[in-house]
Amino acid sequence: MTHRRIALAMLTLMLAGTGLIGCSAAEPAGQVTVLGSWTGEEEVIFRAVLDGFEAETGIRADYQGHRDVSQVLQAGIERQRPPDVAIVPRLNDLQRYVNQDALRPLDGIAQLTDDAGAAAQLIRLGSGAGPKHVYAVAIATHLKSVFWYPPGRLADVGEPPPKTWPELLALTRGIEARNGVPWCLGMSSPPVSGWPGTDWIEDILLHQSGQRTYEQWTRGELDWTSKQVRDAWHTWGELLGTSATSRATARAALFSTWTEAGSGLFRQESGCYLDHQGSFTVRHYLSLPEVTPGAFDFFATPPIGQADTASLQEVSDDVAAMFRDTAPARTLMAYLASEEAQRIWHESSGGLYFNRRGPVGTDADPIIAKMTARLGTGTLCRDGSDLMPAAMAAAFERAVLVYLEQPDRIDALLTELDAVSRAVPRDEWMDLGCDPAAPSTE
Amino acid sequence: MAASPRRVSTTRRTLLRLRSALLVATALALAGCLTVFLGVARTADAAATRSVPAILAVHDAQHALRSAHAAAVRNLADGATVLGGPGVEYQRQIAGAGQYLTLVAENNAAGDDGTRDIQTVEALLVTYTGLIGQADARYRDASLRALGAAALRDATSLLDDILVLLDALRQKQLDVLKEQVDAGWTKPVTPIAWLLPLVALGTLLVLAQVYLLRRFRRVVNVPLLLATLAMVAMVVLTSLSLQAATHLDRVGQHVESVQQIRQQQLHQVRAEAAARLAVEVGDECPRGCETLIAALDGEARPAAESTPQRSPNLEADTMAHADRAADSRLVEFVLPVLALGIAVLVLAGLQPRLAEYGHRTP
Repeated sequence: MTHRRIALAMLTLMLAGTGLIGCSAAEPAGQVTVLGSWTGEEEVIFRAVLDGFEAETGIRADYQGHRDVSQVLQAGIERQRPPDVAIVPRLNDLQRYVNQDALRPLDGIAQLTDDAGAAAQLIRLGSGAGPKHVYAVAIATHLKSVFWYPPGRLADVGEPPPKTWPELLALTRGIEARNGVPWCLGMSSPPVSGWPGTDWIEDILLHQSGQRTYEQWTRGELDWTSKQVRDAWHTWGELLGTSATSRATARAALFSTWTEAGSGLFRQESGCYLDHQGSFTVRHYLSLPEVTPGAFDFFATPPIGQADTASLQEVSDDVAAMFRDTAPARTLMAYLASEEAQRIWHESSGGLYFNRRGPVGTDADPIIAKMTARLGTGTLCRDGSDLMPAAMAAAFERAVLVYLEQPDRIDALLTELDAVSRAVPRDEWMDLGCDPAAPSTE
Repeated sequence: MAASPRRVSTTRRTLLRLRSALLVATALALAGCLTVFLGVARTADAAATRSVPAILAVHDAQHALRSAHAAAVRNLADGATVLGGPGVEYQRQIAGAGQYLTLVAENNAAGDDGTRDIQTVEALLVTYTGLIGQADARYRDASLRALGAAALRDATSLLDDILVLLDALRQKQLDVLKEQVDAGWTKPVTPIAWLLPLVALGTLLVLAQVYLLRRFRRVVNVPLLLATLAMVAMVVLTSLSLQAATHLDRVGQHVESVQQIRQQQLHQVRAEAAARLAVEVGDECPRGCETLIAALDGEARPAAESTPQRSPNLEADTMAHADRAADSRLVEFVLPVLALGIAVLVLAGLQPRLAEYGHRTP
């Protein structure tokens, strides 16, 4: 009997020794998958926030970044394998997912909804005439009603930064008269090439026709062939000009990315002088070896015509939403909106992080401080093409590209845009428009 | 009055202990041999049926995509306005890329991570074909030819992203293959796990022969001799696992060679597309696109290496080694039969002596 026991024990030990593989160390408290559009340096910055989340909660955050986040997200939802949380740059994607019941509401996350500081970040959406719920959180905000310029180079040609639209127009013509290239223009940004041009039209419409018209347009209630929208396109065309230099700039814009074009601000030879681009471009400027402190500055989009639109500012948001209602996903949603996450973001981005909650630190850099101050005043109006249904936004982007190549086709383009607008179901349009800026707490 | 304890002879006790030790050693040897053999076989099977086909299919998908793009650029830039288009070759290669991606998905060895990458690539591929469609539509309007070239440039940029994602996916499959090649089952020290119990069994069988020779003056115990031969057969059969490990090693080396050749092929196809696109951008954007044209010209330069040859033999060799590594030749069934045979032969070899000493006192 004893021999049998010994044999059995030895056999068990041997099988256990050879059959089992050592287990790993501490298991995480959970896992959450995150999909976003940030790659490269932006991904590194966001990962610092996720690292903070992991350290605080013990939950592992698995991030994947792609430039075509909308398509990847759509494919994931269709295959019923969505990420737990997605950060989307286009607000209207969320409306579509609310309509499809693919998005999970955040109303039950007390940490999020009870945080008074996060109130300005919460986005309420509804399907049809039904009640609205909190479905998303704006976690990063970008100022878009700005023009960047190199003060030194502009002074070299004897031009001060303009304060009014006529001055901006005169500056453009003046640079052209000196055989210079006034505008840094880049439209290539696959798969959504043309969006830098849609920003132009939106910004001009906002500052030319005012908040009410702008909101009416973003809701799909204003025809593209209306006088206001047509004027916005003509105003852009007038500013870009029709000289041989202007035509060459417009043609080259089709082949240039906004970063390639923006780099022209700092080129002495054959460089450009003005760049209409969102606040996120500062990170790109600072990454260029030739850029030194004080090499660039900005002025806000001035009112166009008689309208009192100086306090209006176009902004875009990166918005986090939850597609799978799990405990780790809820914890992450609350964390992303928290002051702690935004502090980490602010630090990891070198101060180049802005949000609707208000300033999260003191900015030593005067340009960053100036941008922070702008975001804390006036009325913030969401990027119009981000609010439009995907089909409408895609047509808008294409129309911009065709307009740059063939400006005389504007009538046909606007008529086609109206046709696209009418074909889009009514419930795909959003009603978010503009909000007052969160007052600065400092 | 208490019964006096039954007295067992020393010889009988020794025989009983010897029998037990031989049976335990047989069981241990079987457990060791089976564990190692099955471990190696399973690892080799996973490499042969999943990792290696997945890696090769990722290469095939990349090549098909680059070829499709080169065909689209060539056909759209050179084609006629009305009857032009990205062409049949483009359609064929895109369809092929889709099939290769399905193959990767079927054989994906990288778990959820790999599945997610495949899903992402498939989603981006839809966007890519959409961009080629846009380029096609614009090339059909002679006044928008520049927009067509710009869409081709956009598609090129997106394709580069897709190829990078596929590189990452292939690397994940390679990492799994590396783990399989370097797994514990294929380490040089692994034989200890099965060889030691077999050596112990062999030693016990020899000791049993010696003991029987001295104690009973028998020249040789035939059943125990046969058991020793069966033990030697177990050694030979289990050592086949070492051969499988060698095949797995070769698979790893061949995959690296295939990878180098495929990278050169990809570079060549990419250079062809870049050269044609550089000409097209130069034609459509004579001012302000110098940087882009220079970048495309840079991509169009031929690789320093000699022109790569298609590598069907190397890929066939890779698959052959993987298949040989995975072929267990039914050894997992023969090993238990041999062990059972040893146990029966041990019992048969010692039983007559035990019967002889069953009633004797020392």
